[in-house]
Amino acid sequence: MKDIKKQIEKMVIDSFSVILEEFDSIMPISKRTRIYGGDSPLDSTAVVSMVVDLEMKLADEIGFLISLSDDRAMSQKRSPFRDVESMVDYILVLYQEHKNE
Amino acid sequence: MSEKPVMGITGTSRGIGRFLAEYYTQRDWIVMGCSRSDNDFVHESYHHENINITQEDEVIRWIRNGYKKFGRIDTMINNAGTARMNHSLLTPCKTIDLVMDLNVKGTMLVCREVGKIMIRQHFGRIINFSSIAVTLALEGESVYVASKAAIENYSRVLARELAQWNITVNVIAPLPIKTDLIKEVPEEKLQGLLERMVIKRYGTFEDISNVLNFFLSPNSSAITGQIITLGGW
Repeated sequence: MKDIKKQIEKMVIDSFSVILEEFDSIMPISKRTRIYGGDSPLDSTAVVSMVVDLEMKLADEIGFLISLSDDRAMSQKRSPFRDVESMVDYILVLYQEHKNE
Repeated sequence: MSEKPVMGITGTSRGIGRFLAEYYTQRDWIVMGCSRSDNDFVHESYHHENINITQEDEVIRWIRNGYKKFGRIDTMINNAGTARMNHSLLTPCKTIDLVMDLNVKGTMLVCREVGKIMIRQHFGRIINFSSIAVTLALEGESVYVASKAAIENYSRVLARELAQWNITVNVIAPLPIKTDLIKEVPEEKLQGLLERMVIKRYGTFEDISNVLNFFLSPNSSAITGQIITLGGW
């Protein structure tokens, strides 16, 4: 469980870094770093690119085929797209559900 | 990565989709086809999967597996669709669900997933199917017409959203072609339909491939959000 969380966290940070580079924005990334909104430099188009990259990583690296534009993602009070931690937690929940199917 | 360009086509088990699978494999494309039922078309460049495009997980699997296998998806032709004839006031709820699910939701799911691949590639061509029935506001096909009108406007929005990644999204609206789609339509009704068209004849598969080749041409990179209606306005 810890291992998979670390893997997912690394993938989220990697995808985030790639998009930040495209925006010429170099900044330290922590669990609390905002992905969208607040002081994040990403606009909605950049978030789309990040999500696409992340979905591909999840499929390639842990064989998890998922669309992160899940209904729940769009309706949660605390958006998974808010910061790194919320994104990791959200993916982890989906991954556990997938494993239990 | 495949050296040949890769095209996805939905609904390849028969009719226009089957024709297009044969047509483009003969023209050096790799074709990823899909349909709910089996397909007996065999060609070294044709790769078939039985999926239901109204099921999100099946669409995701089909598109991602195709991308993994070939390393690229240059084009997606959203041909799969269904039609039902009913007066608006006599349309069963199940018919509304069936037509909207396949024609609208299915097309949107495929566009969404292949759009993600095309964003990564910074290239793509998406072609969706409407119908001349939209232009004619055809009586007796209200749900079908509504579903195809939805696709026309959806495609215009998608064209705007994806343009920055060099992805074009266009629509072909065929005239009636003698396929399973219209086999239940009475001949007199079809004749009445032909009379209302500018070009008063049935369509051919070649009418379709001609328009698709225009959309797919490297010279058509500035053509997006367009609807070409066969049979005339």
